[in-house]
Amino acid sequence: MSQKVQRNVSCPCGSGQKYKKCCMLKAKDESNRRYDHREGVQQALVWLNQNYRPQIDQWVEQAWFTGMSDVERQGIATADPQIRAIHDVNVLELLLAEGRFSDEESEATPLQLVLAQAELGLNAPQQTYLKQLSQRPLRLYRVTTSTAGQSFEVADVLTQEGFEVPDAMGSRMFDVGDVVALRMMDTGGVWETSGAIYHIPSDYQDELIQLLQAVDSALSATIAKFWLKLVAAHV
Amino acid sequence: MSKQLSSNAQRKVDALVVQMQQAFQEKKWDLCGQLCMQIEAWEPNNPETANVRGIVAVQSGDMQGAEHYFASAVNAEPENIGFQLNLGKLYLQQGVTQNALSCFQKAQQLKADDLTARVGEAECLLLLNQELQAYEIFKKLHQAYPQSNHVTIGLFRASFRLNRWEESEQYLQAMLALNPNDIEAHLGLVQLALQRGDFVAVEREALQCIALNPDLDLVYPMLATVKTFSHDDDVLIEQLQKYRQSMPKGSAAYMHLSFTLGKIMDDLSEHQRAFEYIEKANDIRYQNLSYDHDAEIAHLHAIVSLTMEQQVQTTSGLEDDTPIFIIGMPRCGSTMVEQILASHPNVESVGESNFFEAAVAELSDPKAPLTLEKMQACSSQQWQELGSRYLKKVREVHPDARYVVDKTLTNTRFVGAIHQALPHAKVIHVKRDALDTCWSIYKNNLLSPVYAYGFHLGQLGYYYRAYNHLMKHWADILPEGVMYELHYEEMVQHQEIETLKLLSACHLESDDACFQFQKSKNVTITASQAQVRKPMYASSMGAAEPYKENLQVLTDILAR
Repeated sequence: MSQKVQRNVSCPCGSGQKYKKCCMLKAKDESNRRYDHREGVQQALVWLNQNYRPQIDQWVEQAWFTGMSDVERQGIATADPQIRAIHDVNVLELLLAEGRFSDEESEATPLQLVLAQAELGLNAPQQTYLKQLSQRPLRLYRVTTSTAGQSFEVADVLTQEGFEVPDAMGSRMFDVGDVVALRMMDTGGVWETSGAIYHIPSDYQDELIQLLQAVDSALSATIAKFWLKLVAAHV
Repeated sequence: MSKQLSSNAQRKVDALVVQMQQAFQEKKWDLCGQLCMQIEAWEPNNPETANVRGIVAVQSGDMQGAEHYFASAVNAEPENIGFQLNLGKLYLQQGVTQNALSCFQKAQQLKADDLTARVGEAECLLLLNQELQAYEIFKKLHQAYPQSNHVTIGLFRASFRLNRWEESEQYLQAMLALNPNDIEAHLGLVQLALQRGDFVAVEREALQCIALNPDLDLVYPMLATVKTFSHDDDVLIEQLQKYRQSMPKGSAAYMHLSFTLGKIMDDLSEHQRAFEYIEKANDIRYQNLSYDHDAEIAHLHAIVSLTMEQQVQTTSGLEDDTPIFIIGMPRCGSTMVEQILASHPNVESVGESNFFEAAVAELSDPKAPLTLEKMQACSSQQWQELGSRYLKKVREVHPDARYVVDKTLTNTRFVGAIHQALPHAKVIHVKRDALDTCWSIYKNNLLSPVYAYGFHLGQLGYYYRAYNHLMKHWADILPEGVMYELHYEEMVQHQEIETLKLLSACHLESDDACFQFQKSKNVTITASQAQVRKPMYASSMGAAEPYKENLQVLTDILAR
């Protein structure tokens, strides 16, 4: 277990300042930056909902629920409220990151529509963050360490690439050994997850890994579809 | 999964566990630690050692470590009621109330009549604003265990939260009859005196508590609420500082004392020291909370997304205009507005009743909860059902009142639904300077889990922005006249004019009592209770000014 740094001791970064005047402030800045990114995402979603509701409904039908039987859809509708909440975050993030409105005359994606909208007042870091959403597909990770209330580390199941994520809430959600699909965002050398979380139970991990090994692209769609079937079956 | 031990190894481990438990009982910490290591060498995930390490971590104030160990013990042996109870008690202390409730309920599945589990469940329900259910549990337990202090003090708290002051005092007096020096009973008397606005009694009882036990961390914040400290109190202040230093860093006692010393330094105008104490206290609360800020902000934005102007035009058609809802951020002056209105002879208050959300929950099918989307599709009849259920709850408390004030601040989320269910209800939105509001939340250690965003300046700032966005949305989509916006600063500066405007917005005649609201007998349970007993509180304007530099990060977020 990692040792917590006391506020009044010298900062471990070697700056010579007290921890509370140095890296403790930086850690707080990082979490504030994260809140700013999330606010940008939420504002984008509110704007899309208010201006493109029919198109969103159509996308959910055609892209998200495609191939789902009535029984499966009923299964999703009656899932545990906490799972439903995760479902709602996941569907909207996928729409924003990789969605496309099929009946739009132009080729603009929801993300492009958002980024072109000056009235939203998104600041530069929020715009950069939103653009990155489309560049970073969902990938499958195994949780390698988790320090409750501080951070967690994951390794990409396919490439073994490791990431450390300073995230107090996430550290409480994940146990070591969990396999979870995330969108890993680079925010100036500090990794954060985008918000969508696709927990994969242990009995189904091998099957999904095989599926992912067989596809070159469309990782996000493959993961989302696989996870949705599990939710529908109340796994 | 750890591998199975051989029979010999298992016997060895079992013997070591017995020795460790004995060493623990005898408080032989070094021996206990050595035995833990020996056991872990055989069995790294032994639940008994994890449990003992968790208890030691609690005692040393390492709450994160304690959570890790207790959770490990529960995961390894979920059928062990002791492990469930320890994890539940820790979550309760950390304010992770839903998780705590789940542990206590699991413990009851293991042993239905376990007293600690029942008391724990009722404590959780109290924190989750389900006072009546908590009261009923404590009442039953009190019949079975009349001598149990845990039960009697719980019954006091539940009846206190239900505004049953005389009944709650009876429980304290019963405890004092058994033991005149019962510290918890004296502490209860401090709380009661605070609610009744009897500041002399607060100070007297608080000092008596300190005399009985100077290491009682909970009494100091209550004393500091009513007392303005000066250098005449230097002996007490020094005693407090020493006491704080003796507490494990990160413990609840250290946190409470830090908040208190922050308030004292603020009284003494030692602002830098005040901020350091308050920041430290908040850091402890923040680190020990399990609060999903992203989900909370997403929820507020989802309300904006899903409630459209044309939808709020579907209403119940109910003509009842009894309810007056007061909403806003905590520490915005809502208690003062409640008191002004409740001083009127035609108005009663149900305080922070949470009745509206409870009525929504009643309409919700447990298998298919009433979501925001579903609420938007509700018919007039369904809105009527919701409105009627709400009114029934109000009438159970105040059967004959002409108007009833409901000051449940979390109703900010339900403004559209309130209008749809009760189209003739008035909604008063109280606004105060954003920085003063946030600073007041940050320094006041709000206990309810619904204010969990208040312990980190970044979270606080972004929560305020989302709240502001939501309130602008309500103002945009609701018909004119439904929501009245009252500015705290204007009320403080121009009490008479603003009070008349407020009364007019509520269709109330002017009444002298509303101009002397601090004498009102209505009592409320919020952190504002001391201020509201004083005449208009002009010094609370610009309260954040001396802390401007410390709060720069918050100022920047609010200005974005």
